[in-house]
Amino acid sequence: MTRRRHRRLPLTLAITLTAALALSACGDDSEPSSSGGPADTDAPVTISVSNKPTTEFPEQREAFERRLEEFTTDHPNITVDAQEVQWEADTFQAMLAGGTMPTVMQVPFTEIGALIGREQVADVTDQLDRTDALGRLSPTVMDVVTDDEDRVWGVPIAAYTMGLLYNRSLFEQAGLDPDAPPQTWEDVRAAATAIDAATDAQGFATMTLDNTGGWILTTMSYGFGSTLESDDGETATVDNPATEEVLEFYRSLRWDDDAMGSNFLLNYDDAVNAFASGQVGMFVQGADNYSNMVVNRGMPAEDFGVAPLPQTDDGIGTLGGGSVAVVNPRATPEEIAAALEWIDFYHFQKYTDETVAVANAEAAAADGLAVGAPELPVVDAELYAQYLDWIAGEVTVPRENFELYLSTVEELPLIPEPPVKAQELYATLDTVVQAVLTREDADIAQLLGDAQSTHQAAIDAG
Amino acid sequence: MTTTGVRALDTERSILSGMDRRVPRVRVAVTVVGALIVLALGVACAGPLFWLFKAATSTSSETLADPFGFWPSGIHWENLTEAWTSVRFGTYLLNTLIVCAGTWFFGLLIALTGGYGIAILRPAYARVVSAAVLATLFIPGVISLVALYLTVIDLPVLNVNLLNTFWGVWLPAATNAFNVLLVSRFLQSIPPALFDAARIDGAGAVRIFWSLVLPLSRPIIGVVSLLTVIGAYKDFLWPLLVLPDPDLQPISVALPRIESSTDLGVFMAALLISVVLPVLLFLGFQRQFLRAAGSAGAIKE
Amino acid sequence: MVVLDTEPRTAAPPGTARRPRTPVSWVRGGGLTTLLFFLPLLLSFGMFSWWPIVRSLVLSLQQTNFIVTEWVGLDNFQRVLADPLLGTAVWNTTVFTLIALVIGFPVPLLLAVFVAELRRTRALASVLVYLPVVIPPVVAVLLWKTFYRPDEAGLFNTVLGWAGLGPYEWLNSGAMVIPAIVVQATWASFGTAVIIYLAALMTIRTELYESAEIDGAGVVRRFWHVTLPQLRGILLIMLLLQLIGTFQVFTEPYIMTDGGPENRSLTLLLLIYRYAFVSGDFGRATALSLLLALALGVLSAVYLWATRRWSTS
Repeated sequence: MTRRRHRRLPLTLAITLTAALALSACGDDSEPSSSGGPADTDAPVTISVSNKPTTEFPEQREAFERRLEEFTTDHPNITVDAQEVQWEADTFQAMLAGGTMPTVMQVPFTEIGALIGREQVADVTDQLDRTDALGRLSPTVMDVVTDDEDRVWGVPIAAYTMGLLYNRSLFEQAGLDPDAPPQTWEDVRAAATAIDAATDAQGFATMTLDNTGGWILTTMSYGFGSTLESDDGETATVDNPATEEVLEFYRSLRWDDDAMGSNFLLNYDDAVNAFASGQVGMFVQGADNYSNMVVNRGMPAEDFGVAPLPQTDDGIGTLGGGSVAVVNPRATPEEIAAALEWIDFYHFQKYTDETVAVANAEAAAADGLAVGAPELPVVDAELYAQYLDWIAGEVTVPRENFELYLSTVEELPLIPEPPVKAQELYATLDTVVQAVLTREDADIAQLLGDAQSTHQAAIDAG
Repeated sequence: MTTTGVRALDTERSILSGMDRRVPRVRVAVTVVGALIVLALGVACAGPLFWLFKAATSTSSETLADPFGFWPSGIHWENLTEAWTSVRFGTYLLNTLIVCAGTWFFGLLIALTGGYGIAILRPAYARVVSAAVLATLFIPGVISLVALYLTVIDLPVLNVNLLNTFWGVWLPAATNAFNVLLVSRFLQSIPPALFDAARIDGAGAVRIFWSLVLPLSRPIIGVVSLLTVIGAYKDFLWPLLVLPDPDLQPISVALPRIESSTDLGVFMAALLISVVLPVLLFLGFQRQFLRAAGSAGAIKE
Repeated sequence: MVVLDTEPRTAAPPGTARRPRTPVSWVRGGGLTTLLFFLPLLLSFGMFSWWPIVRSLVLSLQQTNFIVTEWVGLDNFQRVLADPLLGTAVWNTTVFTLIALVIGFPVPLLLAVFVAELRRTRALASVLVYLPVVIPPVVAVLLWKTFYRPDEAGLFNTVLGWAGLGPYEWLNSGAMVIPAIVVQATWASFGTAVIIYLAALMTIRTELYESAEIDGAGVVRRFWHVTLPQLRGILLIMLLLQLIGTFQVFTEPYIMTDGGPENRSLTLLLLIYRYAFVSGDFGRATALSLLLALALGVLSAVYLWATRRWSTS
């Protein structure tokens, strides 16, 4: 495991180390910095936090600033430096390398495993019980941030399951019932061809670049009945009948039905924008995308539809994901304490304080933001039900359009990302998906066989 | 440096002689081929820019439905204003100008002082320095991309992080061996007697630099300025790495980022705004541009 | 700056001093001033050019997460050579370079020769030829990306559609993606070569053409026996520079395809970028950079050695 690698650090190296080492390597290297003693929570402390909404989203920005001000009033000793940085695959490593990662940073579920493995985030276990809500997080999402030794390395702040997003208006134009979304993959194919034939939009789409192709292929494989790695993460199971069926499904939609458009080099933004602007009938994506599509990208609210990920008879569930707030590994115990205060305040106060919940919801509604959009609760069921009850009067989202999804979200099993080297696996699978979509003669069995050996080799390389 | 000089039109000749050109058959052939070449170049080189102008002033759906339709619903200037306001294009353009200005200043500073030292002052170590500078010309840039990046995020000795600062773009871009070479070559071509005379008059190194070298160097300053500014305007990979903060990004980094989230017409307008400045600059100073490009080639030889 | 001018009126010309050197005489002799003039160059090159080159050599033998660093010997190189994507990237880059050579080398030369024959329209032709060069590469790439749209709205598909052809998949097709990118890259850069050749053509002495003409050489033979030999020095250099340049192609595939489809446009620099800035594996990235630099160095040396007779005779 990479976690133990740095124990072998030779002394001679000391001269080449940068300030990073000097700052972080005080004491035994296996000791997380947070256990260095109780934090003095009244001393003045400055933390930086990520994901301040950019000026392109003025309402969110305003809401953020309002909350920030309230926080500073409540905690006069904590100074918060809010930054616009967000997690991005390309720049995150650089941020770590340059030591510029904010004290509190939001990262996707997919990243947290590797970060824990490399100890590039702080251990927050000892300070987690400081607040009410942080002690009542949903067990499903807590698994994501907990390692084998029960240490906790971050706070899940939002979670979602993957679902089938569909455009309700395109469904109507194609003579389909938007309130009865497809529940089998045969239904999906039929709906896709119908939309393709009846409208200017393409029936179905899938992303293929920046590891998103592999991500969606993995999700759909769950719906068809298989994971892509054994549970212990030691064996690649890429070459399995379920994944082959998914690719076969792509192949027929692409080459038999021609219902997937003409451009197959799509990254996340390309696909999401195409869907939001009504050029795509259906695609598999996070079910929490309501706000992203409707508020950020201008999709008409009544057009947005979301259904549970269709399952075959062998289907094992759907992939779950979300965001984790992590703390910079070089943070002092005081900074970690302040960081958790902020996380609790900004993301969880609404679950424990009715006034805050209602005020937040009212303000969000007034700013035209989404209130009550489908999501996977990060707190336990009781807290979440209570929260929904509090804000019932402020909901701005047509929840009746998501009936089927909302009634099944708790039932459909949530399968985590592949446990080992998920991003490498996705990168390998990107090319498989691209092959099936751009080459009519692509040999699916061969592609999967190659991907299987490539990924097994990657796992074995450690 | 090679200069073509200005030759009178009738004594100038290339493969064809003046005599050849008087043969009617040749004259017709030259005229026809010449016209074809200019026409082809017009379509191939100016055509895409013209189309860009058209697409930037049409609605997205028009461009998608009929890429060659000429403004079926009139000219839509609002794309340009939309690009300016909603995608913050003004900020990106300003950042680009800041990047250019800083690179230009530091590039000139390093090339002029260094070139002066190598070509005129010539201390004992000048040969070593000059060789070390020259050597970097022969080492492909790719070799140190990653190491340069790690250097910039944690400068040796100073322990400063230049990530998300313009310094991180300015200084590495200004460290350009080619510019130093251009300047020192140029200064070497100035008759040494000029400097000797100044020294005899009692001028020190600083005065010679300020009142003799700088005025004499005007042409080469022009060339180096053009090359650095254009280079800085065009650079992509390095600012992409060093300026992850959207507020600091120049247009070349911002454009690919906003591509898929921006309406096609507005995006084309953003592209158009990005080319206006360099194209106008080029059309205004075409002789200087072409001479800089040509002399860059002469040096390479 | 002026206060630093401590040179005495009788200072000997630099480089000719033969007096015994003491720190004081060194300063009085203008040594300090001279050093100050070298300072910007020494500092900037030291930090941003020479040191990173040394650092590359060190990094390639290390692994780091920026909190802890360790020496790993040649492990990074082994991991580069074991990566199945390396072969793909080498192959793609080679194909890219060869195609770029086939269309990118003769076209500018022939164009320059023709444009040199023009009289009234030569200036106009020069401006047109150089126009794409002044467009920022990112803008050119993004513009061409819309030209290459695989649906009927793509510019090329529209034009070919008039002739009843297509629609073609362009960047979506594993077979077409590299040629398509090469055409764009050539469009964006061929103007520089034309202008350089034009400048070189103007330096050819007219007597050479005249004597060839007297010998009865026709237009083609004049080109072959006078123009080409006179240009060979610049031609050789340009060819080498083009080789080195295209081997480091990055922006075009990064923006247009991100290496797809199926890694068919994954170039070496894109792979280095992925190692370093996506996977955070800086050691492996540096190792591949060094291997690429070494290959380019060997290529240049062999090239210069193989062509030395031709270029000097």
